[in-house]
Amino acid sequence: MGVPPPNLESTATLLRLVRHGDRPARERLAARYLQVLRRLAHGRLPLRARDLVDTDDLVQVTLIRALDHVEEFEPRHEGAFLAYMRRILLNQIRDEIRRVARRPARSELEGDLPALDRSPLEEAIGRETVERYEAVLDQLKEEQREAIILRLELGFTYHQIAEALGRDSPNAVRMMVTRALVRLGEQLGEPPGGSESTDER
Amino acid sequence: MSVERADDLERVAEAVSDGTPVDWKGEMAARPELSSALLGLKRLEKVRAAHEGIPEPRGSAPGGSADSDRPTKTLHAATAPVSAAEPRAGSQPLFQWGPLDVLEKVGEGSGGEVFRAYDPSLETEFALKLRKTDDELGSATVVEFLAEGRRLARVRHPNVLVVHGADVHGGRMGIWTDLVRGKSLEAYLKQQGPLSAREAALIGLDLCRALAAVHAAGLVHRDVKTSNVMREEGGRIILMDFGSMAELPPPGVRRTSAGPQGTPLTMAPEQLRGDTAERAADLYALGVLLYRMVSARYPIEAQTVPELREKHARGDRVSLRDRRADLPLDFVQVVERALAADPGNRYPSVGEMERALAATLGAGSSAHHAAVADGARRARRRAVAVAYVAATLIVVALVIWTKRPPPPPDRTRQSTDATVPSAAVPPAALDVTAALYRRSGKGDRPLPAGGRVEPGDQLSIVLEGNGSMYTYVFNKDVAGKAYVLFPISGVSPTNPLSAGVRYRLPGQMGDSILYWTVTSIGGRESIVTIAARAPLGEVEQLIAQVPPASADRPVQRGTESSRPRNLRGIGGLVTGGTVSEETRRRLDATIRVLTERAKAKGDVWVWETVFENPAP
Repeated sequence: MGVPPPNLESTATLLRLVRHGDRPARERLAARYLQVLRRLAHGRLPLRARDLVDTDDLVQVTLIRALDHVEEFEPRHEGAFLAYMRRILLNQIRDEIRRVARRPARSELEGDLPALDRSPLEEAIGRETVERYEAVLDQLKEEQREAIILRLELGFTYHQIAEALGRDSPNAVRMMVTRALVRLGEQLGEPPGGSESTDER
Repeated sequence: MSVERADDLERVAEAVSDGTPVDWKGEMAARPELSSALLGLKRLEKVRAAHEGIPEPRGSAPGGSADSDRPTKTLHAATAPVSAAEPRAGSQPLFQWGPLDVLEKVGEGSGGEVFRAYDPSLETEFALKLRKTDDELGSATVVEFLAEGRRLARVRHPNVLVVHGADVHGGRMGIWTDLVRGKSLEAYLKQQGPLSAREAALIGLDLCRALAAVHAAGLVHRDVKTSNVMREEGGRIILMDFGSMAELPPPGVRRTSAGPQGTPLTMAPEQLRGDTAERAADLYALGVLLYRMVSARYPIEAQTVPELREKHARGDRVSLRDRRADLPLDFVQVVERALAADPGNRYPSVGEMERALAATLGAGSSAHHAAVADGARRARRRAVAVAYVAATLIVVALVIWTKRPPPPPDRTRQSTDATVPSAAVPPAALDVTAALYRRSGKGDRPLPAGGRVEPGDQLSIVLEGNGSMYTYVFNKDVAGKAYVLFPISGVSPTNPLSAGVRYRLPGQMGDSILYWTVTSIGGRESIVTIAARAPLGEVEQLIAQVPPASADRPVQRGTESSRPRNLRGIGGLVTGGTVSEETRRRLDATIRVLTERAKAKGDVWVWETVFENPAP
């Protein structure tokens, strides 16, 4: 079966085909996003949950849900579709953590290592900061938010981001990302409470 | 915001965005008034870092793909029965060994270390066993080692760990094999407690076949024991650890080994005495394994090897009957004969032992109930998930349905097909009631053979057998594609299905009910259901070659059509349900043979249903 190399078809083309019920296009689209979502899921899934849930399973569910709603969802551009999938994935993971938390005691081997309950991201910046990050991210303009997600979380190049956002100039995207980062940084560095631990300095 | 302030922060923000290092201390010291914004940016840098280096091994593996798939499940190393450490997905290779990226150590055995390794060109993970480095590498050792690897690679059997090759790289000798996911029989025993005679016998049958393949290749295993046998997720039994495997001496040549190899408590008396282990020693060890699986004990227990030898010499063995009074006599007899002190009094071959074990399963024994209980205990684990098979023509994707489905409609005897056995078969016949259902808004409706299915239809099979049975479901279409619909790794129930229980397949993952979904157009589809009293080696072999409707690697990956395909074994690259001509032919032939066998012997049940799935 011939599978075209990536980027021969634009994601927009694929999305259009999928909306018209083109099954192979659906597969190609799914294949394209598999790795991206895997990367996202990895940073967000606590180690403990990872033993019980396959990252890949979460990614599959996300893909299925996103693609199932593709008919009613008219993303203006790929960036919006990615942000949409990201939201589904994060919801998935939240549900998953809740479910895992309900499970009875684990095997004695695992012990109660708190690290297992935290995702690599939470491990890196703390759970509260992750929540704040999501909150301030939400306050950004949609396009800025998408650009940040693509750059910071998914590691897209400026060129790829420009493509995903339907912008002409990678350079303009660079500026947008930089400014959005400064805004995020200012909000993230100043907690509402004001008293911030200095352990990270 | 002053221009200067904006410039400084933007410069730092750009560094964060590009992943270039920032001297945070210096920046903060230089502009203390910006420290809170800088702290925020520093956190964003960590956000970026936390998303990096995750499952994309690009750059690290020369010529590696950007789409590696590091499984996150608990792994068990092929040759190390120890429970594997939690793999760290996305970890950089520890080192290279020939073509393999060595990812992590998953165990340590007597002869060496076992690693999880990845072959970027095959996009497949393997278990790699490396001999300890302090082994002196005389050329004779190397030659012998490579020769052994070649012999092991000759053994091809679904119940024997697949050895892919042996080589020396960077001064280290290694053997690489399939990576098996599951647990050892020892761990299974610890978790489940002693098994029923029936379940143990079924495991014994698999191991007889495995050993027959080993012996046929001119090898003796020499270390058959519960911790060297894996029970894969899904129930397949796999004999592993060939560390101490020896070549059979040429006929007529008596070879004295340097000393006993293997594990004393499971060793045959002649092996303990230092004689060369022959096939009969494997047979003895299999007897010990069966003894242990039903009693959690060893027939002869001792603290030291001399004490053990002495007890062997005195014939100081606790009979299995004294350990468990409830076991069926025929099973006890098989085990006791395998444990005969004199090799001449054991079964003459594993084939003979297999026959004797099979006979204990013959007429639905009282062990059934125990087996049912075992099955129920087993029927948990893992949660969530969905399986989604992206397929071009194929029917199958699994769909979750989170609510309990309505109870299936009244059981209907499926008699539309000539292959459904009738009541006229002899008493030992496996009798199965089965029906296919299509989920609809109003509950599940029977789906008649020859009917039409279309994309979006959600199907399930409800079936119940009069005996414990190994059940296999395949889907194939006119275009020559095929899928395994059951058993599926990670989905419960698993084989064998218990007697007298009504199952709905594909089953459940965690709390989610699964269905097979018709995802595309296939012209004509057939669903073949096979049930058998004992595992069907030939079918299990096919399962290894036909892509599963599985949660493991379901979505077809789109960018690697030019890469080599590896359809064998777990973790093989699955591409859209395409199976080789040969596999396809074997599948058809196997179904034909089994259909004949169902008519003639009745120990197997085959049901093929054909549906129209035309293009609109």
